Amino acid sequence: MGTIIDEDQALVAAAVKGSEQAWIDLVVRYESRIYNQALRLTGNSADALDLMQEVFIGIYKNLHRFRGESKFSSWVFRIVHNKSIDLARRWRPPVELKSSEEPDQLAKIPSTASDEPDEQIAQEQTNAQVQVLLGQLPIEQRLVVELKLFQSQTFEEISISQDISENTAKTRFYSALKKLKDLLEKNHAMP
Amino acid sequence: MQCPESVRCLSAYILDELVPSEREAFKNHVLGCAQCSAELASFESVKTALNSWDDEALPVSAVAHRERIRNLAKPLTKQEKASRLSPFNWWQWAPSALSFAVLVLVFMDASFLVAEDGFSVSFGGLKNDASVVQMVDREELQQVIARLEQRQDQNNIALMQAVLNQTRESSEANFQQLFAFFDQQRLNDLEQVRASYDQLAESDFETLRSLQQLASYVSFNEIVR
Repeated sequence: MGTIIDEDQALVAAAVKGSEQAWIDLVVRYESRIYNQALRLTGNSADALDLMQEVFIGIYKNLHRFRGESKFSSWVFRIVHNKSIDLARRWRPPVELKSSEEPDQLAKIPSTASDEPDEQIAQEQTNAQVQVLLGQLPIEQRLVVELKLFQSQTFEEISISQDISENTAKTRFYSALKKLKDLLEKNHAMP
Repeated sequence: MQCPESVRCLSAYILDELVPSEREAFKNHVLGCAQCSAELASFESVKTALNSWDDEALPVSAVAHRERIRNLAKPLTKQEKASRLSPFNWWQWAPSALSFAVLVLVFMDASFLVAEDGFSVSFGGLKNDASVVQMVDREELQQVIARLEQRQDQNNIALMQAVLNQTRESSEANFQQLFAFFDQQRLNDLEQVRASYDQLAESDFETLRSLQQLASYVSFNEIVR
């Protein structure tokens, strides 16, 4: 892990000096991760690609400001966070369900991969279910869930990266889980 | 109805806030409490559902985005550099320059005259007679300019005089108004003083008459006694 951090910093330093190859290496290293983060935060591929592009433009413009005091991945996620907030302000949530429609919408999505023989389609369907779930959350809660469950950050790290107190981070996370729990329970209660 | 233990410890358990002994105690409680067990299982199912995410590869439609991202660090071509160094192309300024030129010509009252032996330009509304047609040498041009300057000076002087006259007239009017006001004020004050004096004299006169009446009364009593 330490090596990855060192490699990141070396690539950043080289990219800042103008190395095109170093920048491409950084992009290759992070594009899939950022795209998947963006996919979970926006809920659809087109918005995720736009968000990914904006994030990389943000990274490139601010690359000289990265001092290596934190992990490059944390710094990158900070930019993802800012851009996501911008997007959330501009765009509607990816999936917005009225309470009466929630169970129907969720029921459309197969709950297991076995429903579809093709592995890739099954993966996309599983991911779509996650997107639908995350789409029910306000962007602030979605970001905390992203950091806690998908980036495995501690609440202390989340509080620093999100500029919120640790208690606020915990409250957002718990509220998000509770909301999703209620939603799943309703879904299972459907005949 | 919710189990009180669930209300007290469930969120702390999920958020990993319990100390080891509390955590162990809650785990034991869950084993024997159907409510807490079901509640905890529901929360776990949410986590399981979310953790079922499997990273997707970038779609085919990402080619354009990828290209733009990678090109961010691409060295600029000569053409790009040139366009960055001179962001103001001449054709962008052409309409403004043309408008400015027309404006200058209008202000200078310019006129063009095309003759057989060429064309001439005149300024200041000069007549297009034969002598003007020949006016291409420098000396005449200077004369025209001098005349223009003179006319401009005359205009300026006239303007300044008009401004001065207007200022003087308005100042005079203002002073007259001020004097009239002060005079009126003075008359009002005098009127007020006179009225006050009359009032005072009247009241003094009444006092005197009362004293006289009192003296008469006293002297009458003395006579009676």
